Amino acid sequence: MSKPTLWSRRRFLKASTVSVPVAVTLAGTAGFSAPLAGSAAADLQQRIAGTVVVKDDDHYETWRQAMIWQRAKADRRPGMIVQVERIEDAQEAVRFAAATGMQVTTRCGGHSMAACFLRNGGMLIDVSRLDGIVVDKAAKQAVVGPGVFCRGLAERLARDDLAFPGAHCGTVPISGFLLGGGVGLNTNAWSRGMSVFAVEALDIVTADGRLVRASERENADLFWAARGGGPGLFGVVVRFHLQCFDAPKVIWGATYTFAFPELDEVMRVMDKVVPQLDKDVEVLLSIAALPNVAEDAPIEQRQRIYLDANAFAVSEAEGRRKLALLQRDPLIGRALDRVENRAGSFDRYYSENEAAFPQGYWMGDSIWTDRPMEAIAILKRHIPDCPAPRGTPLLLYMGTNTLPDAACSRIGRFYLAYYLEWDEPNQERPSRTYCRTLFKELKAVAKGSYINEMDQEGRPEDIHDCYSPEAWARLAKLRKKWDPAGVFHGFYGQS
Amino acid sequence: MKMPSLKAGFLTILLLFSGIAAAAVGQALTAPGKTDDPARVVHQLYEAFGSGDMAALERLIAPDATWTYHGPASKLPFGGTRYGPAGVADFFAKVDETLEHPVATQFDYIVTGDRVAVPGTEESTVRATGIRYKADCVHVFKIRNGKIVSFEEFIDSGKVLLAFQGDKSVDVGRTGQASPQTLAAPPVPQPIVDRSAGKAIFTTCLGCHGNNGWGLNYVYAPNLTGQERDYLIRQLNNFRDGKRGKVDDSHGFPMVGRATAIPGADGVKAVAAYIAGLPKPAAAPVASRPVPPTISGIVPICATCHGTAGEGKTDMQVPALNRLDRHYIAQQLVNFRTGKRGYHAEDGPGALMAASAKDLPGPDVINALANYYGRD
Repeated sequence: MSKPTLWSRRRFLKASTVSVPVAVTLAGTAGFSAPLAGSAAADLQQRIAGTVVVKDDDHYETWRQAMIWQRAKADRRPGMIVQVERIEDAQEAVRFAAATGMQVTTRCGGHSMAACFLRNGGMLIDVSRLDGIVVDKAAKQAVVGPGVFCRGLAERLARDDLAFPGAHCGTVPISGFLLGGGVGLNTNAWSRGMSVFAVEALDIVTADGRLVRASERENADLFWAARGGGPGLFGVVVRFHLQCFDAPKVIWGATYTFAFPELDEVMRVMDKVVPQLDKDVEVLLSIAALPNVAEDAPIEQRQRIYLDANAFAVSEAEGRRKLALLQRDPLIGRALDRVENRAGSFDRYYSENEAAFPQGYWMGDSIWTDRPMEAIAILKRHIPDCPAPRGTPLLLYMGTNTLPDAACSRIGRFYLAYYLEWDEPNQERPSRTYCRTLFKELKAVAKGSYINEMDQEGRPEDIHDCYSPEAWARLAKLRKKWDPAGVFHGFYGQS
Repeated sequence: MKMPSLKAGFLTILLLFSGIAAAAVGQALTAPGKTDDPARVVHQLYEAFGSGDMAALERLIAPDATWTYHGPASKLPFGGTRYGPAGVADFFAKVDETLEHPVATQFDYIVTGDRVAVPGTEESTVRATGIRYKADCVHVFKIRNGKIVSFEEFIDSGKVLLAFQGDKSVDVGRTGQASPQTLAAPPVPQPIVDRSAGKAIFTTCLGCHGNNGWGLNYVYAPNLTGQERDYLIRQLNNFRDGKRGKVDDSHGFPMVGRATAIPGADGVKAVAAYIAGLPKPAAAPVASRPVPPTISGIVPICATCHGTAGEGKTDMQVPALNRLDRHYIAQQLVNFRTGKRGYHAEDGPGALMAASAKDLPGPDVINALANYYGRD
């Protein structure tokens, strides 16, 4: 799904009458240069349309930091960064890495909170420029490049009255999100709990540089691994073939704000009432500090609970009906604030959700759990000690789906995540320590974690808990089959 | 006439590379432009190739079209110039007779007036020799009244000819399933590489504004190219400093995070310089557009700052309107009118525009202005 517009246009212009001034201008501009003759960069650069950056380059550090979406920049330095412009570039880069003994990781949007793609040494392949969306409306399918943002996919599909269970954060590209399983929008109704189960096939560059299709019918074991293998996948996914769904006519929603002492009652509703709603009603609980209350104020004054319900409905009337059971609960009458009868769309959803995903300094962790009351009890004890200025726990009802056989093998009735955001460098270490301590305790009530939002840096020893023991073992076995020479890095801290 | 084979051949393209064609035409795919928009017509042709839609091919190719493949017609059966839909059909019949497993990649659409240039690659196996070549090419289309009146393919026909002559030096094997040793891509002649800080930082921009900075209107992200560097710097700083991107500016607010994450003032300058240096699509032909009566009294006022063709004014750091999508212009005028932009006391130019926008009579005038100055 290549779109090497910049270089290809430049190359085109160079072949035309206006080429000389353009080329001269570029050559004379800081940052433009011929690769160092005889260097590894020059060797690979000669073969690709993308950009090869090595440590010796003037702007290496800017490139390195640009690979991480958020502002906390992990202090790890790959030897070479390759921003590919076309699929063939990815093939060439992998072959080059294999031939020169560099281990490979892949990034796209760089949203991994642990920046697990950033390792010391080796090659980082950036696939963010592989974009493009092709929609087959009649077949309800889309072929999508890894660099496409979830918001962009939603907006593009909406033009054809289709939808896909993309991430809740609009600026997350589909690639890493899907490869890790994908806690996405309306997955309980659309995709058996996790977004990746709406992936029909993937095109993958394997360790030997081949481009292969992985699906139920072709390279089925690779397909098994790609559906959930996440950052431990031994290949570069360059194209996704997605099953799409009829778009909701409206995302009918309501949001209620409760005082912190209502937490047990809100949890009762999450545990007992929400599971009775239709599967296409998504209910999310979050706890967040009021922005204008002092950080050392009592928790009851500072924290609020937000209960957000969205029905993916064919009409407003259906939306009202789908939320009615929730809205009849006595708890709702005690809300401090409320927004009801919200006739939403993906555009509105993503716009209103933007503030929830600040491009600041942050980290997080997550668990799956079937024991939400106990999990919240643990959380409640820890929240007052949170050293980060902004700490936001989130609880999402996932349904009771049985996952298809795939690497994505862990899920619970509830997904519990905790995002910590800080402003000053000296707040980072205590925030990370606090998070690790809390989630070590939460393990007692957990069914593992979600690889995409697991604190891989803080708890690398628990990464295997993102998978069932059988899936973890099979991933290792398939790695040996598909990447016998170890061209690709394994999970963070593993290889 | 071997249309069924032709269809099968291009269905192969669809199956193998269906994403690439659309990736190359993100703007054309997403722009709501008129059906006779040149880029859209060309895109429709590629789509017709992809789906084997012969009726569409007939519809898109003018009766008097010329179809030229630059290469020795005496050596390459599909070389030379052909005329009209029948000639085009003959071209593809010759292609199908001699080549198999075709794969085409379109990298970009470059539109200049009624011409569309599409750089890309072509890869096919010569049936007679089994040699598989992969050649860089540029397709140049000329569009008139929604139909293709001229097509020229400039391709490395020397490589194609060698493949016909059985020269294994050009054999790239079979992409997709070939063994690694046969897959080595031909070296790309690329002596100059942009590894600038600006390009690095632009990585965080491209998901919304596109790899080429031309914008993606389905995510409400404008074309950035064609604007002056200093204007881009000012706007990025406005987002960073709270002078633009209120929470209720639903499509502007996301820029606050992105702009804030840019590493410092030098980073802002670097990415602005990178964007300002990008190739840009053709400007809206404002000068040739009639001025609707509803805005005939307003256009001269706009022109004092934005120029008579909406080209902007460097010395005033006023943006070029003729580089922006008309929907984006309309939305920004609404934002200026409703206090979502130009609201900050230290954003002098924005405040000036907000004051001007408040005097606009209403939606009809806003739409007329946007349609007059904006790109389709």
